[in-house]
Amino acid sequence: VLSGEAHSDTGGERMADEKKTVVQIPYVDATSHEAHALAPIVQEEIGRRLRAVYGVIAAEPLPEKFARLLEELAKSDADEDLERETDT
Amino acid sequence: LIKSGTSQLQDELGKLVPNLRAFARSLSGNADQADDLVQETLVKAWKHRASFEPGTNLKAWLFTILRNCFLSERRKRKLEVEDKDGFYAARVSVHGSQSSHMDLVDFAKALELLPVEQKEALLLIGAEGFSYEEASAMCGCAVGTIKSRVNRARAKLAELLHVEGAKDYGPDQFPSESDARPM
Repeated sequence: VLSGEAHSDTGGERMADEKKTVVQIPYVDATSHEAHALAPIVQEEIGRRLRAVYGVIAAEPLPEKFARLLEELAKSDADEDLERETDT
Repeated sequence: LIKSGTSQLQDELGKLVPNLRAFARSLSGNADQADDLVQETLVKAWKHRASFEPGTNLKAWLFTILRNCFLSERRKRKLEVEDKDGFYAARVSVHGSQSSHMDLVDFAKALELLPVEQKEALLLIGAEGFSYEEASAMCGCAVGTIKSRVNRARAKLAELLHVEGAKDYGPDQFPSESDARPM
């Protein structure tokens, strides 16, 4: 019984070794663009560059025209309120 | 009361203009068109502000307005010109580069080459940090569709830009044991 156990132990190790090499294969799927096709390190790099490009634009000084537009919109509301008041 | 509500909205919209510009520019690839889009978005948001539910995500609401403006504008333009300006120029000049500045220039060019649905999904998730659920509501499609678009966008960019590591996972090269990560 003891020698039998020793055999199955070494057999188990051998199986574990074989299993390790087999397990690697499913990670490799260069043709699929669906989930999990990219290595995490590549995803991170793409994300880093994307945020850098995006961040550069978001950090640009704003042209005056946006603040002016918002002022005008707020003012047009005030004018409408005034009109409504004078109507009644 | 009305006045304070108005100036509060004015402030909140103002704060989101940089993000709206970055989204519009990345989406359209054109600075002038992008600023027109942002202005159109602000006017529409103001006009329809009664339909915004307080307590919900103002940024998501504005981004939805902007992408709708962009897509309807694009539909109109597409009837006029079939090929987008600069498409071929961008395609031939995307190469591996040395400096990190060039990396970003190339990245911006490569981004232009993505189909608009993929680009939009990638920007919302990867650049703005919206959740997949938020992005799916904004784009009017399933969560799985957004995930798939983001993955395809990343894969295409990695391919176009020869991002290091992408080739190591090609069909003939298996990652070594130390490279393997749980996915």
